[in-house]
Amino acid sequence: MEDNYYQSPGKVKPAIIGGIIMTITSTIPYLSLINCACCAGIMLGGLASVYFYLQQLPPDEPPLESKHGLILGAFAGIFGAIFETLITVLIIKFLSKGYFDQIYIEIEKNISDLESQGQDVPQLLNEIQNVIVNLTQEIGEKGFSLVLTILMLAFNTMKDVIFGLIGGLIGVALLQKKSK
Amino acid sequence: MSKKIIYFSILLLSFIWCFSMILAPYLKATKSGYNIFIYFFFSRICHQLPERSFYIFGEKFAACERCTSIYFSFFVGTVFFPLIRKIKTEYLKICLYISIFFIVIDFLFGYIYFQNIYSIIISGSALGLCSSYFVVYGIINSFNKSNQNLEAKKIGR
Repeated sequence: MEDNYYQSPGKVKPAIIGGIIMTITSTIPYLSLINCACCAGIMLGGLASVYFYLQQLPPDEPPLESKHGLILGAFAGIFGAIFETLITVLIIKFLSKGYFDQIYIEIEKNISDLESQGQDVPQLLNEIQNVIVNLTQEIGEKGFSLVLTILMLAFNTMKDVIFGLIGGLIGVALLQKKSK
Repeated sequence: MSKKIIYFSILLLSFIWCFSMILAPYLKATKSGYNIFIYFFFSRICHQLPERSFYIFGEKFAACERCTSIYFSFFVGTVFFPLIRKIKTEYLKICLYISIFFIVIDFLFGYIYFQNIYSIIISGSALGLCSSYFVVYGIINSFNKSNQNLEAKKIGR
């Protein structure tokens, strides 16, 4: 039987490329400054995934739809989050053990401020502080924390998917050729 | 899913996003202690430099001036989406190109030469406003079944 249905090209490869771009722009020092402009590097990854998907399309392709940009950007965000988390875990293991220093100091400052003013310290703050102490100890001993990795992955996924799909949708708007 | 539900969901999310940026300084000013979570959340996506942030209640916003301009104008763009969609897409696309060009130039100049608050606000607002149309339109079209074409399409028709 003749197959007369158009099979669109795979989205995985462009999404992986987009994810790699997100990771590069998020983890390389100085280059990561680009994300100071509203996660522009992450959006660039989503946009790049749309660009590479368009490169795969044959000339008589059906026009690209918004949902393609959304899916590509979100996929790129998922890949980007995985790669970014892996690299961060490696950085923590081999280079930096003081990952929590900043937030720990902030929490400590908040608690001491509240105590000095005679106000009640929210229970949640104390609990978070304890969790951070435990995680820091775990990282110090083993150089790795499963809980931290899962938390990072969850946060990176949320961040990269949101900004990745925005980048994908903007990519469709910018790169889509005018339909005949 | 109906277009209205999708639209109002985006509007609500955008509102919560912007509101939380004002909530953080409010919580900090009232010494509630919970502000740290909002600041920490935004610290992952923004540099939050004090000299490049807006201030309210004597405390800085959860995101910098540029990000704040983008997010708030995105929210405004989402509010006025029903009106903006009446403008020709081609014009909006040109506006988006210009706003991206403008923000890139402003961003590069900011790190190389000087930073001007007005250029930050204008370029950020322009990008947020222009991109909001394409983001909202794209999400509505992606989730609304009446606008979807099946991915597998017949050739020769």
